[in-house]
Amino acid sequence: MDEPVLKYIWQADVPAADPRFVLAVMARAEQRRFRRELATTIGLAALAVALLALAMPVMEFTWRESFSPYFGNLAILAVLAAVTLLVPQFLPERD
Amino acid sequence: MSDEEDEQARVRDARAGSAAAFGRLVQMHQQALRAFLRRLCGNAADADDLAQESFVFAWEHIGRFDPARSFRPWLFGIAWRKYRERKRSWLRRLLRESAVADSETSFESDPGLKLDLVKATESLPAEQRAAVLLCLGAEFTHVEAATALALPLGTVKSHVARGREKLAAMLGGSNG
Repeated sequence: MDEPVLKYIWQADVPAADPRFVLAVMARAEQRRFRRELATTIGLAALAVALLALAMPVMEFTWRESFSPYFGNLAILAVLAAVTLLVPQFLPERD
Repeated sequence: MSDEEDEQARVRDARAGSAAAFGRLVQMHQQALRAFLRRLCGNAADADDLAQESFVFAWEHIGRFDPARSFRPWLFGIAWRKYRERKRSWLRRLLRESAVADSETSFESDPGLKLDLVKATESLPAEQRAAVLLCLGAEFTHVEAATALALPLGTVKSHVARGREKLAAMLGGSNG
């Protein structure tokens, strides 16, 4: 049996160049990547929502009992801290 | 630039994330891979679907491929594993449905020697058929075929020799 003849016969029904097949492969790869990323995003979002739902009662209680009465003072403290940190950035440098 | 160097450059680019380079690799290997799978499956549509699956798997896992090795045996190894997985699921489905079905699809439209060769090839056991198709039909060395099929080198040599003898006997030709 002549091997080139075997190869020719076995491969005869597949074109040597087939851009449609190449496109189909790349499209399938892209579809799969998109689905994987979508599933990851949905999974992470669901996890975040679940964690938030679990943590919310504790956070709400802590806020109400510990920080809420001091909200005004905390806000002034935050503004003062921000100003203290940011103002030096706008002052000219000294030699 | 030789074909081998061209392939290595494409593999390097594809590993770096170039879809265009991988597209070129698909273009370079699609004919041999689809022909290999068509002769294994006996069905063009299933074979092309498996070929697409194999290329997509290769693209998704090209980071794991060792560029010091040849790309072709790695790609055909993926295709061979996909074929065996698919065959197992076909068999399971057949058993579940308790259907007596002939899994071999015929090539009624192929005349003469091609029909004889296709039928003779399909009559070989799957591993032997794969070894014969790779070594005689896709110009694989025995070592490359052994890598692709995950078989010992001696087994591949024996499969090719016996397969060649059987084909020659069935086609009534001389061996060699």
